[in-house]
Amino acid sequence: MTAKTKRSPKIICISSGKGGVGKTSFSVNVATALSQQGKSVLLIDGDLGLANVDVVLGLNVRHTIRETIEEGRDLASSLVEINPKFQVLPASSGVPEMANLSYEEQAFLTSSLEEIIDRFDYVLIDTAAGIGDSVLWFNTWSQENIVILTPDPTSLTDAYALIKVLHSRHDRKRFHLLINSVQSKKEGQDVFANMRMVLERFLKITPLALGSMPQDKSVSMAIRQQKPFLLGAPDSKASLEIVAVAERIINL
Amino acid sequence: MSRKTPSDTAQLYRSLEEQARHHPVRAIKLTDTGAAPLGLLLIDDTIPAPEVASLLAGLRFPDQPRAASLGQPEGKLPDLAWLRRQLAMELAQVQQTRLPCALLLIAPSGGASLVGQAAAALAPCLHPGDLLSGFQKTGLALIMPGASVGKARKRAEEIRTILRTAASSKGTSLALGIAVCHAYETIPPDQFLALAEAELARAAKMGNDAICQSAAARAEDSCQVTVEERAQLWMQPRMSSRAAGMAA
Repeated sequence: MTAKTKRSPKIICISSGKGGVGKTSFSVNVATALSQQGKSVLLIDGDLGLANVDVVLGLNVRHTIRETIEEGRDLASSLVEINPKFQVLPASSGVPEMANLSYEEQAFLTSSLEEIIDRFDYVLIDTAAGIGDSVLWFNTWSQENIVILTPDPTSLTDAYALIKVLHSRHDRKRFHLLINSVQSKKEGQDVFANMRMVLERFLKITPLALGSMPQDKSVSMAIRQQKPFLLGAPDSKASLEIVAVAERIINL
Repeated sequence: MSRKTPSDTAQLYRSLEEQARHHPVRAIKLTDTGAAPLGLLLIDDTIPAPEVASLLAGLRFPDQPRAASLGQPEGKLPDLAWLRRQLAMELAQVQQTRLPCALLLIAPSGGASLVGQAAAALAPCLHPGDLLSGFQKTGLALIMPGASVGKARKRAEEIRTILRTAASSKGTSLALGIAVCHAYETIPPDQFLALAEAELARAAKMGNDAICQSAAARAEDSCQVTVEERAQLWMQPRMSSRAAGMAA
């Protein structure tokens, strides 16, 4: 029996704790940036019950992860090519059952994902908000954990809670923080410093700084136009930062 | 292949499953219900899941036939050796799927005579994937693959309610002990069983149909963000920068 030679993609989970902090926009744009740098990327919509990646990219998807779970459909047939280096695995929206997969379904999804990820350099997972089972599971399945937060107290608290659960219950120790919607670089640095201090003091872990994304009108405009801001406004502050973040991800 | 010991067999299956991961096949474990040997079925990935389920049903090998024969006298339930084998396999699965696994031990105070009755009462509330067996002739063991601490506790509470309702004689009491294994820890099956057994003993000592879970599992309940943590998180940015600088 000759085994197929498999590559080992870097699996990176993108979560936040609180919803609406820009996970999906970040995921889509950082995937675009990675693909522009010659890396093959798979972006999995890990918000299995309320998917958004397809919306942000303006895709009309025919098949999603749901068909694989419910009908046994080959996961590869649900992949959508955005460009030759960037593919998306969409999920379903408005399907509560998908937000609460059973053990058997999760195990089946794991084995199905493992069959398709070896052709990519990077696998990014844009999870749902919160600390639900699927969020924790995707984070545990990944090699690197990115947590996105904004300077808002609610976002800080929820991001911390997510990290606490992942650390305490799943022994995750390496977290990359991305501070989104900052008014200035200094604000991003302050928020990171504060979070680092709390994590070091209470959980004895030191997070890593992935960067801070500035508030930028091109971001909200791009979301309404359903395309990555990196393509719509490549010279914007947000685009310049996302390229820098992609480079940091390559160097992880 | 002359090696027949359970540990060697488990290793063989693990090795085959590992190899299968590199091929477009799906590996399905066929678990036994006592004397029958374990099996591993490799099915081509191109066959849709519903068709696989239908084929397996036709072969009288339902996909992962985990639930033991229920409603039978205790003697018909799988025994401790079977439980240990299943635990070994499920704990290996924890590492593969990165999903936790819980073991619930249940001891009705009536002893052996009530175990069969309890097993029958539990039948309707078993989930797909659950594995039920006898435990030391006077109790039941339920393996709940994929169950976290919270889920295991909730299931235990449901089971306690069902068994209380089903108990024919007044004065029958229950004790329930839970152990949970996560992907980040490697627990040998015997140690995992001992953890649950210790909790069962603690629950029996407490009385009042108590449910106890292992210390590690109890520690997980302490994930709530504390007042002190919140206070630090909500510090003004200027303050936090200064504090970080001072800490450095």
